Amino acid sequence: MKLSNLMCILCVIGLYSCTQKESGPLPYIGHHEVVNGDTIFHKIPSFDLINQDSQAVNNKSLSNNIYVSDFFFTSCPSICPKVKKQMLRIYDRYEKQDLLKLVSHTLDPKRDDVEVLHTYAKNLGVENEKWLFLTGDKDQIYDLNDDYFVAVIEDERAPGGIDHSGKIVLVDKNGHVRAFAEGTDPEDVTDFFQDIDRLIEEYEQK
Amino acid sequence: MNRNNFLLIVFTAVLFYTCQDGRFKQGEGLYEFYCSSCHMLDGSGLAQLYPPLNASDWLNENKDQLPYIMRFGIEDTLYVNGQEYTIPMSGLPELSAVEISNITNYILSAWDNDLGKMSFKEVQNSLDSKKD
Ligand code: HEC
Repeated sequence: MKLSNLMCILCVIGLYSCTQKESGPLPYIGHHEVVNGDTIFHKIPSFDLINQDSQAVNNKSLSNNIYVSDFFFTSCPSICPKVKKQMLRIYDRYEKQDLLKLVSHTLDPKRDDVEVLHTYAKNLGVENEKWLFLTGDKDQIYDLNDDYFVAVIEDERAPGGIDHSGKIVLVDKNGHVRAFAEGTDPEDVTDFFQDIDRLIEEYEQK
Repeated sequence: MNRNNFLLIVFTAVLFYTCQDGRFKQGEGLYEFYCSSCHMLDGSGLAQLYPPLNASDWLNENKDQLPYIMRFGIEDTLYVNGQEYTIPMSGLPELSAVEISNITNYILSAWDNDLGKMSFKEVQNSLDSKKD
């Protein structure tokens, strides 16, 4: 009898926590345009960069993956290491989930060449293709930076005082921004796991 | 004991207690501002890029160097808890000796650390020490 009581309570708690969890498809973040009745969502433009193993990386090579993206540079003394700590949490958590990749862009491509990025990745414990560290043409990277964060800024709930430099952005297979997290805030990144799970679910249901 | 003496004792005790409580508050704040970006708020460091300050065997053996490192940085191959670290750390010349002392004593007893205390004199000695 005691046990069944307990079971009851557990069921109620279980049901309650289910209702708490958000489900269904993630929203599309950023500017929307309506052209001939079709809604066009903000999209990461095409790019052509190079990773820590000297491989070219562009939108096409990422079109079968969803990915989380951040911007950093290896000699950054301020918030970058904290964001990397959170990227590392994401990396560890989704190690076996091949659908998800991580993409870190350097904002200091002159100093952060392929070799520097290779060593950096190795020191982070990354020696595979799951986490890409990208360098290349500086203007292109800075334009991209705008595109990743333009979406985020337009969707920012709190107006004003935007410091977007520590954001981690979730991008779907079509290059649409679907969620973002404050990369310096471990709790926000814990919530972000749910967003990533939801996007993975979207693709696994298909 | 008259009433005034009693009040004085109570007052001193309260003052002592609150001071004790906030002993490393300044050190903690400075640590957050100057060190936590690389060594993390919980002192855990980051993979093989930034070494930990919590439960670091290197720090355990070289704690007298801690003030020196803050001011002048360190560029060495370090082995911390069995991992190799090679990225140099730049010094933070903007920190005063008092601030360094506060950060030092915060770190020595923060998290799982139980590395004792360092007097201001010892901190100054460390800052004055010449590295070979
Ligand atoms: C920009 C990143 C960065 C910042 C900020 C920084 N450090 Fe470091 N720290 C490093 C790196 C990298 C090393 C490894 C140096 C080496 O291998 O020569 C290191 C090593 C150390 C070590 C020796 C190794 C160990 O873990 O026991 C101590 C002690 C230390 N730092 C203390 C501090 C303190 C205190 C502050 C704040 C005043 C601070 N650091 C700020 C990057 C940083």
